[in-house]
Amino acid sequence: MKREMNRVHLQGVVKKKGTFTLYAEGEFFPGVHLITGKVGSGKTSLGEILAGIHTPDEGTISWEGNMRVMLLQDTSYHVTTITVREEAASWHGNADQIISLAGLADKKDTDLFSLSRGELKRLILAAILTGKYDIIVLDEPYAGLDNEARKWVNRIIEISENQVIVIISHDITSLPDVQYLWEMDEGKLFCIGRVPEELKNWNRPPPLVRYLWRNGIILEGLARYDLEKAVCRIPE
Amino acid sequence: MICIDSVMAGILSIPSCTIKPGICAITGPNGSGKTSFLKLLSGIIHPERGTVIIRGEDPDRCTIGWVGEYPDRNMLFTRVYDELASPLRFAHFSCEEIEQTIKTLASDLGITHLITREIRGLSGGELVLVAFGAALIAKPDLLILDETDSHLDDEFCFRLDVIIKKSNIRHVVFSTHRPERMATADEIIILDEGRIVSQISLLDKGNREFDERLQDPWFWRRVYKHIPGDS
Repeated sequence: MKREMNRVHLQGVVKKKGTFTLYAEGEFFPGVHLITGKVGSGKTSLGEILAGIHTPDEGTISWEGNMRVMLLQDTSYHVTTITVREEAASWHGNADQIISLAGLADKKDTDLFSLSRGELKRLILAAILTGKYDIIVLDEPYAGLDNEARKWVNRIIEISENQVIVIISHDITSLPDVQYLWEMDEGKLFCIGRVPEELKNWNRPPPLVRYLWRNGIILEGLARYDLEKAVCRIPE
Repeated sequence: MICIDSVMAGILSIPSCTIKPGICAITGPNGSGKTSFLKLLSGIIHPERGTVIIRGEDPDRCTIGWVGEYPDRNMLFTRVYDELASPLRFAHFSCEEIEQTIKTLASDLGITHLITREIRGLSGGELVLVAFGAALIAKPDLLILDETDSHLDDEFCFRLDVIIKKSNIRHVVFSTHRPERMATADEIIILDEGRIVSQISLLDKGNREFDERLQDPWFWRRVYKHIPGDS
């Protein structure tokens, strides 16, 4: 039997929160999606809607294909136990795999809240990224992570298959290979389109991208190695 | 001047370190001791051995402002006005003085419209500004930002940079993983396993130790010089 393609479909979604209103429309296909936007533009609220934590006031959201959805929030929201070992075991089976992937083999009995911010984040990310979820929404996955850990996250993301992976981040210098770019602007979701073809339509590109464009450099993608290649072409 | 001498504190082991007045960035891998270092400077943790002296005083006797990664978690009050007023109220300032100081500060931060609001219901960016206000209002000897930038976009960070410059605080120490943020500092301290492995001045251009361009604060200074943040 042919496996149905995973897809998240938002139709006329409206969500009100005080004076703030979020509007979203679009389809999220398998692949890596990046959602950028200013502070307060509604990125986190959109992530919560994509993950089904909040239901829209108007419109519909549908998850087609398999339905295993996971959202990375602030890591302390994920903690349900005391130690690293217990927390890893509370996920989906292979606790040792999670612990070793997170590089915490020598801290199995450590209290979760005495881990550093980055260590706790690695533990939760390892659990999420090995969990065979069909839709993974990562809200600020790089916050609190050092360079090595950022590369580690991206390696796992890049070998995923048939998954819809949504990265919500303003930090564009640490990304894996991204296929689709979205932008939140004052509560409204815009689909910029495929990367790199549609990058030129980015409404509010970050300073580095604007600087590259000014130097006549066309980006071949948004992955860290694409940026490294691009900045090397800037004349001294 | 901040002087650290023969300090042992938790994972930190610092024989000697001097931080000049200005803005200092702390970076290093996860678990290298960045937050411990900031706690040491602010007197939240005390060294088991050695001394930390800020402008001739023990950290416990200094006024310290602290803004964390999730600023609302350190907030004590439910209204913005009360949160901003709290450091001054605890120091027994008069109501008139407090009101006047809040008025001026809120206008500098661009949050006059938020003063009467509840903390609950503020956006992430607004919370950061209120936390900055509460940290700045007592005119701290040292302002600490513990990965405050990790959820903020570039434009917002530029806005905070301007606020920090205008505040004239002698010492600002912030931890970050982002090279583009380090570009705004006067010096960078790199930690690894609780030790200072490098202390680099960015005031003197001859001092380049970064091989990759995206890791090089000088490269980021070039980017930001050509691209103003307010576009």
